[in-house]
Amino acid sequence: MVLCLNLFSCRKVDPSWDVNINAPLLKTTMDLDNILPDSLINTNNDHSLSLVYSYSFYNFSFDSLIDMPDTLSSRYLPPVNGYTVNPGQVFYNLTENNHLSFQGAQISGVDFHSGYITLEVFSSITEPIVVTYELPYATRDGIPFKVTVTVPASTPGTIQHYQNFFDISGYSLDMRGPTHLNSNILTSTTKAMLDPSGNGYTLDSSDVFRFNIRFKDISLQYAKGYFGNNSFAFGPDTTPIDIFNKITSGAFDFESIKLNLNVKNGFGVDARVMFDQISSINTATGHHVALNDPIIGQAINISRAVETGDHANPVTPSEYSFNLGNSNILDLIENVPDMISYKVHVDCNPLGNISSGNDFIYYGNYLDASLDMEIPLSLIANDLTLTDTVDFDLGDNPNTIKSGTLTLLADNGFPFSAKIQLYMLDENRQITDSLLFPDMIAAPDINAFYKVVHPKRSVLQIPLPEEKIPRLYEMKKMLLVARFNTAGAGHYVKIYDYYKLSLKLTGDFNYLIQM
Amino acid sequence: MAEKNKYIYKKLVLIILLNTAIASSGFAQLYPTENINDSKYCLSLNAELEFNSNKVNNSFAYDFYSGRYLDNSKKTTALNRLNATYNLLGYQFHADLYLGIPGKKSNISYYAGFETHSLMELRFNRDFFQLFFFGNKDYTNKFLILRNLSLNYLNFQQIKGGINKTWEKKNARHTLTAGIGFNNGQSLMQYNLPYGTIYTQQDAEFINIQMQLDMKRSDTANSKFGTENGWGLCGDVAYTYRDDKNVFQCQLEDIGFIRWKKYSQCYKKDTVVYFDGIDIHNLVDISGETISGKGADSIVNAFAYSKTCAGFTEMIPLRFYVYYKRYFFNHWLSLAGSFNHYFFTLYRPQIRIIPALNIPLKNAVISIAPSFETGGYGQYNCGLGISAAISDKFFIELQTAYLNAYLNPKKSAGVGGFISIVKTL
Repeated sequence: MVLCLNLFSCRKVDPSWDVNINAPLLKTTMDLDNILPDSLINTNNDHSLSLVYSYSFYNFSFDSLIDMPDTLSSRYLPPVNGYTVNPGQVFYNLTENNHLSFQGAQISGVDFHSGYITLEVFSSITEPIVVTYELPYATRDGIPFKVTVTVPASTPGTIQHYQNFFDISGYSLDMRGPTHLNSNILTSTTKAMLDPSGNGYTLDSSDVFRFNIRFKDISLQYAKGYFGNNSFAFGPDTTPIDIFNKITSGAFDFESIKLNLNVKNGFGVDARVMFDQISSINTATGHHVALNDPIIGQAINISRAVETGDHANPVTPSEYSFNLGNSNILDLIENVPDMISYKVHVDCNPLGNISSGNDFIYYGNYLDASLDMEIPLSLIANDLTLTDTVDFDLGDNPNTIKSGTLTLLADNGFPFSAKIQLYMLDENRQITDSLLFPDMIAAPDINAFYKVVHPKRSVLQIPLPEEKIPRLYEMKKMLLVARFNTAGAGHYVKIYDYYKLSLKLTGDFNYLIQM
Repeated sequence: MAEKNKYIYKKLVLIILLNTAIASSGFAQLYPTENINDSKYCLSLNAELEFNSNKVNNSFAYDFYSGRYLDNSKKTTALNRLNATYNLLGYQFHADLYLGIPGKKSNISYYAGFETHSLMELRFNRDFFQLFFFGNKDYTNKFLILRNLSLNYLNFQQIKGGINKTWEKKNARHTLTAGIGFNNGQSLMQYNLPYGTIYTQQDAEFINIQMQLDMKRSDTANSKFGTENGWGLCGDVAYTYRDDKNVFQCQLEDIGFIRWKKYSQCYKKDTVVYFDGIDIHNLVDISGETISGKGADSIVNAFAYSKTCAGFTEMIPLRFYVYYKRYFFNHWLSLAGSFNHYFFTLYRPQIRIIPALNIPLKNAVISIAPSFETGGYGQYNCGLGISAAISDKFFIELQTAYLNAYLNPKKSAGVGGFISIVKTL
C-alpha cells in the first residue's frame, strides 16, 4: 500500500507514523563454559566442577644460563707505506682461533636456531675489495659457513662503510678448535683481495682497512659442554595472574583447594632451587598474603634432564611436585590476587662438572616453576562482584526508537542470585548513563543437598524513556557489573556441569516509521 | 493557522490539478469515435490516471501523500473503515499518442501509436494494515493472519498499429478494428501471499512466522522509463455499431504477454521462521555487527529473493470493455452505460452510468456528463465530464469520476482524471 501511495505521487515530504513493536532481541544460554575457558574446567564423577589452573610464575630461560658473546672478531690492517697491491692479489689473510667467554661455561658446540652474523668493513681504499669470511667448523649439511662480499671502492679522502647480515640459522658450530680437545674456541678465516677486475692500489700509512664481525639476535637450538657452577638470584619480582581479574569486589570462600608447586628442569644440568618467598598480591586492596609452607627457604635438588635421542622430542625433563595442601593456600587464593610475587635462587651444577662436559640445553626446554591449582567449585559467594567491559555499537541513531521497555527473562539454574547493572560508556570509557535493573535475578530453590531443584524465572524490566535512546546509540562500550550471592544460607554450594542460566532480552518499543 | 491554510491550499491545488487531468471513459484512440471525421488524418492524445480504493479514504491517502504524521486517531479511523479480509487499493496511469490514417478506400482506415502503462495495486486484509501501521504489540499472544495479500507493480510501453474496416447497412455504421503491437517490459514486481500467520508469544519470547510466498520480479539493475527488461506481443479487436440514436462498442484490448528476461527472478516459498532473538554465544561479544549483521539473517533469508535468475512469461492486463449509448430528444440528452474489466489484475468489474446533456452550438456540441460508477479498485463514485466536439475536426474531453471523494474525503476514495484531445490534420 505504501509502495502504491509512493508511486502515486511525487511527494516531497515523507510520511511517518508510530508502531508498537514487541519482539525478542537477544538470547544466550550461559553455563560455566561461557564464563571460563574449557581448559580451566574439570568435570568430576558426580558432575560437580573444579577449576583447574596451571600458572607458570617463573621461567629460567636459555639466555640466563648461556650468554652468547656478541663480538666474534675485530681486526684491522696495520699501516703500510708504499706497498702496491695488484688486482686479484690477497693483501689480508688471517686465520684465528678466538676464545669466547661464557661466564665460566666450557662450550664444546652449539646449534643455531636463528640469528645472523654481521660483517662490517671500514675501508679508505679507492678500489673495490673482495672480502671472504669463513667459519670452517660451522657447517650446515656438511658445508662450512662462508660468505664473500665486495666492498665498494671509497672515494679519495673518505672511508667506505660496508655492512651486511648473513643468516646462520641451522648451522652447527664445533667450538673445540682445530685439535678438537678444547672448548669455547671459534675458528675463523678472513681474507681480503683487490677486485680482480679493478686497478692496482698502492697502500700508504694513512689508509684504513678494518672489520668487525658480530653475532646478532642469536637463539640456540642446542648447546653442549660444561655450563659451569654458577648461582643465579631472581627477584623479588612480580608476575600477573589473570584468573580473578574480572572480580572487583566482594568475597568468596572455597571449601577446599588442591595446590601443587611444580618444578620442571628441561636442562641437562643439575640444579639446586630455593624459593625464598611466594606471595599473592591484590593490588586493588594492597593486601599481600605470603605463602606459609615448609617449602619456602628449603633447598630443592633438581637432577638434570635426559637426552632421548629423538629429534622431535629430544628431552625428558625431570619434574618435581610439592603439595602445598597443608599451607595457607586458601588465604592466598581468597585474597583474589592479581599479582604473584616471588624470590628464587638457582645454583647450576652444585656438584661441579660431574657430566664430564656433557651438559646440554635444547631450544624450548627450560627450567620453570608453576602452581597447579584444582579448586572444587564448592563455595560461598558474598556480594562477589564481576565487572567486565564489552564493545557495543548500535551504529548511527536513525531516530526511530522513541521509547520502550527492555525486559530480561532469566531462567536461573545456578545457585546464585545476581544483581545486574549496565553502564553506558563513551569512547573514553566515561560513564554517560546507566541501565539499572530494579530487581535481581533470583536464586532458585535448593534441596537438602544444596543442589538446584528447578531453574527459577525472573522477569526484570528496564524502562527506556525517550531521553535515554540517543545515549544508547552513542554508547561504544558497555560496563557490565554483576553481583552474586550464593544460596544456601552460609553453606557451601557446588556448581554442577548441568547448571545453566538462560537469558532472553525482549524489547517493547515505540518505533517511528519514516518512509 | 498558517499551516492549516497551507494544508487547505495544497489540497485545493491537488483537486484542481486532478480535475484538469481527469478521468474516465478513457480508452485509447485507436478506435473510431463518433466525434471525429475518420476520413482524414487525425492526431490524438489521451491520458488517464486513477487512484482508488474500496476502503482507504482520500483523507488518509492525502495525509500520507503530503507527508503528514499519521497519528493514532487517523490510523484508527482508517482501520475502522477496512473490511476484515478484502481491501483493495490501486493506481493506474495510461497515456497514448495515436495517428489516424485514412485508407485509399473510404471504408478502410489505419492507426499507429505509442502507449505507456503504469500499474500498482495492493490487496490486503485488516490484519496487514494493523501490522503495518500499528505494529505487532496488540497481537501479542494472538495470531495475526495475513490472507490473500497481493502486490503488483508493472510498467510497460507499447507500439501498436492496426486497421479499421467500416461498412454501412440499414442506416447503421459498423466498424471492425484489429491491431497488433509490440510490448516493452520496463519493470515488474509481484508478491502474492495466499496465507500467512504471525504469532508473537505472550512475553515476546519468540515470534513465529509462517507464510506461503509467490514472488516475481524483473531485472532490477535498471528500471527507468523505456528500459527493456522484457518484451512481448499483443493484439486488439473491437466492434463498433453506430446509428442515429445508438452507439455500441465492444473491445478486447491488449491480448498479450511479456517475456521477462533471464535476469528476472521468480520463485515460490512456503516458509516458517521461528525467531527467538539473536543468539549471543558470548556475552562479552555483543557488538553492533553481531546484532545488525548475523542477527536478522534468518528472517532476511526467509523472505529475500532467490539469487538464481530465470526468465518467465506474464500476461499483461487484458481489458474487456462494453459500451452502449442511447440518444434522446434529438440528441439533446443521452444515456450511456459501460462495463469495464482488466483481466490478470486485481481490478474488479466496473459498471458506469453516464447521462449527458448535449448542447448544440453553431459548429460544435458541448456535452456535460455526470457519471456514476461502481467497481474497479473503488466502491461507489460519481463524477463529471465536459467535452466539446467542434466541426468533426477537434474534440476535447475532461473528466473525473471522483467528485464525491474530493468533496467528502473522509468517507470516500478516488483521485484521478481523464483527458482526451483529438485533432484532424
